[in-house]
Amino acid sequence: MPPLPILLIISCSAAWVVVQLSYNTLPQLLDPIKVAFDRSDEVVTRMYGYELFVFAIVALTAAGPLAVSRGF
Amino acid sequence: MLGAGGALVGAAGTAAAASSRNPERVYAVVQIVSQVVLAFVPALLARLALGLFGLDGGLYGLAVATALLMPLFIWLLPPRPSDGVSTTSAWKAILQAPNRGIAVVAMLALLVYETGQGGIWTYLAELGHHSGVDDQLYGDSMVVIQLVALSGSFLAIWIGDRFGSKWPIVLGIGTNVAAAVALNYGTNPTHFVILNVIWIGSYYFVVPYLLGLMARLDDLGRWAVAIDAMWWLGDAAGPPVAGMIVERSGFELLAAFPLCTGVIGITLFMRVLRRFGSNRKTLVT
Repeated sequence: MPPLPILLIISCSAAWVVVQLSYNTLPQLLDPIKVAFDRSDEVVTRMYGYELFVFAIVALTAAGPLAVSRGF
Repeated sequence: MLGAGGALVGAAGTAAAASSRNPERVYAVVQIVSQVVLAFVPALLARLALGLFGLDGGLYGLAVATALLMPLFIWLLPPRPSDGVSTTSAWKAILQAPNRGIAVVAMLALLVYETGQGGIWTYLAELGHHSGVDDQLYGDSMVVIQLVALSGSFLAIWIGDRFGSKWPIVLGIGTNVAAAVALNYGTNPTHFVILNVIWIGSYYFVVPYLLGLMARLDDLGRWAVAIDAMWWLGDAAGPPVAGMIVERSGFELLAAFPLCTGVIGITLFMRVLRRFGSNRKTLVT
């Protein structure tokens, strides 16, 4: 087994933590958001769905340049 | 903005890891490191940020955590420049990637499979209540469950690519789907915890293989990033579909959702793995 590229792993882990922060913590924040902005369950869960949808579209369209440029 | 920023960072990380020598192992290690950090976030958020400072504290806390982690992204800069590949158009770059036919079917497979997973994830706390797990026990047990389930990632690191991708993916998804279905029939907290460990553990086991398979389809990481995006698309579609099922038919029929998506997903993945296997043999000969 070749040695693992430690810096790449640290960097990727930091990136994945940032990504998951929004995904994993938003359900906990939904209820306070619902109360603070006086919105229904349906509205805030739809907002959560929109966030994931934007995430997917941006990730998909960013795939080419980000992956290919290697030095962007 | 949260979704867009997260997507850019996530895509950069996934693409960078795809270019490593052994992508399955790198994805598995990255998954372990990130999940160990993240396992404590819900408890910290509830006790510190939300508890002491309210919603503003929670949101500022996320912003500060992101700002502190940003300097580490510097090592995401790829190790070598591309050789004559255009970077001006995302679609052009994607269309130049090899194994397009296989990758598109794999993305469809993941989209269907992940929709079922997202649906169960949305109602996990509710399924816990049905098994007699209260809110406090749910929050605390999830920390332990997430950490124990990381054994799935360790198993993926240990096995590596010695058995190829086919059987780890098929067995991993099969176990995962069976646990997702069984979660709907749990009758006590012990069932809930054990099934959750199997469900999340098998998921952690299979993720490095799926990303590794896509990385092998294109070592520049285009398909790995694209399938990562499909992951989120499936997660986005799962909650509304599961909500519709529960609203119209109750929790009794929710078990059928991951079962259907899992069977379709495995069938499509088998097709992908067969075509990928025959392509590799052709290249070798």
